[in-house]
Amino acid sequence: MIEFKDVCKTYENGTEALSHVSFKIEKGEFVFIVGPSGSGKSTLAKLLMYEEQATSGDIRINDFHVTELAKRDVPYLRRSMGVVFQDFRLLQDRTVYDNIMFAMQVVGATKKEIRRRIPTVLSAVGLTHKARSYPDQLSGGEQQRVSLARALANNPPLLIADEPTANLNPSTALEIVEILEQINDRGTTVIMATHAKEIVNRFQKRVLTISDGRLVRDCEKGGYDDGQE
Amino acid sequence: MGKNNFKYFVTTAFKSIGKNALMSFVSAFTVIACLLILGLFLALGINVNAMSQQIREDAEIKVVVDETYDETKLADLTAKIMEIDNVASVSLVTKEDALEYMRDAFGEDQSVLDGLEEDNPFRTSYDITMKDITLASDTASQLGQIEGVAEVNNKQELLDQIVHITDVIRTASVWIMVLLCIVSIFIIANTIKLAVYARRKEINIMKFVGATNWFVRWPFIIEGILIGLIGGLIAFGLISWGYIACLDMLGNMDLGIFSFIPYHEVAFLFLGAFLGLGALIGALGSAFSMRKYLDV
Repeated sequence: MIEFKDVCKTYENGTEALSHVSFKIEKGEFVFIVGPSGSGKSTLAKLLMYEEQATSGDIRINDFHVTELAKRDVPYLRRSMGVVFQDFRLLQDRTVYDNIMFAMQVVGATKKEIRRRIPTVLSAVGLTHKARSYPDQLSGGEQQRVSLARALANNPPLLIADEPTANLNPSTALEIVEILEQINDRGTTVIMATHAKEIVNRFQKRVLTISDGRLVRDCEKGGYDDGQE
Repeated sequence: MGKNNFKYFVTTAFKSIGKNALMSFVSAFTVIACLLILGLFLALGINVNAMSQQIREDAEIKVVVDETYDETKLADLTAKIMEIDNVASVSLVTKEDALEYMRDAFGEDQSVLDGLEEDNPFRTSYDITMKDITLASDTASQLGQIEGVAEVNNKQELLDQIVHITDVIRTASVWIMVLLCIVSIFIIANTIKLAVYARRKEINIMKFVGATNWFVRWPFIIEGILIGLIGGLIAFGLISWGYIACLDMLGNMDLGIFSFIPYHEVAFLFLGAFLGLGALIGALGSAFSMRKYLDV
């Protein structure tokens, strides 16, 4: 599903954000990517979303050979994944329903598909009753659930969440990760970058730890600090 | 571009124009200014062209016969003139014809010409039309060599002047147009840049859910084209009004041989040119913005 081989990323200003990172993630896994801020964790998330490109090494995601991807194929790589951000990135001038519809329109979904799909994803995140609300009428947790619903709208096999709980209080954060777990239970591969220790420790999933741009631990079913010597 | 998408693009473009009303208005205004100047020169150009055409058409060479020439041999002279290749027709104007013509021209004052029949001061001449007007000076010099020809009057100089004026107007209008088009393109580009900026969040989201570059671009391109078309339509309305007003005003003046081209003959030319150029300016302006500000 996802394979990083000896991936390095050096930014134009000379910062070496990732060096020689290799790992594999299989279909259906739930993986936490952890590490302090500045460790290279969000660079890794950006490489996954194709927001940044690797300086060297080889990346494959969902049958796309990312490191040799033609520019015109980028949209199709992105359609194979749903993404969730720390800041939700909802459009304030339209309703919950329209925000999700927008993501479907963009990839050319028909009206019929949109009408069928939106109630399904809204119920998956427990927001059926908020379809007609505007983002500023919702709590932070609810907004993040809308952005989750939007990420799921086009039914991608992979979901990438970059610090999805950073702006939320602990109990709301927990709800979000529970929803991610439910999504994962239905077969979607979930990758979540986070520095929230309690959450990682609580869910006991696979943990990739990044420190100073290196992958320092890869722990099957672990906590934030597991495997530390 | 599917039917669903097209509808989405057009609605998005209209919404964006609405949100950006002031800048869209300013952009349309520059398009209008550009097209009005184009229209002005176009109207002037077509009419000057038509005028030179008219002058060319009735451009005749007048050949004056030497007074000492034996009038009984006029038939010979006519035949010699006819031999010149470029001569289309020859008509003889005798002294008496010339006097008669003058009488008509003097109208009520013709009595001043009384008594001239006895000692007619006019000279026998020929009016000659040509097959190819551009060869006029050659033909004139050929005519001058014929025995019995005293003088050759050719309207070449006047024609040359008109051709020259037409050329100057044409060149000047092309350059002014190009300049104004560039200005309009930049102003539309700026408007689209603002529209892109206003919708940067939306564009970012589109990018992450996998919109193709063209899907992101189309609404902006359409927005530019719409602004151009709106400008074109308004400019067409204004120029039509101006043209008709000018015709009304000038219609009462006697401009001699010349008459203006009626509005209905130029309307389609203006409409086509304005809409086409408006759309082109709009499309170029937004394409320019896309290149610079919408690297998706």
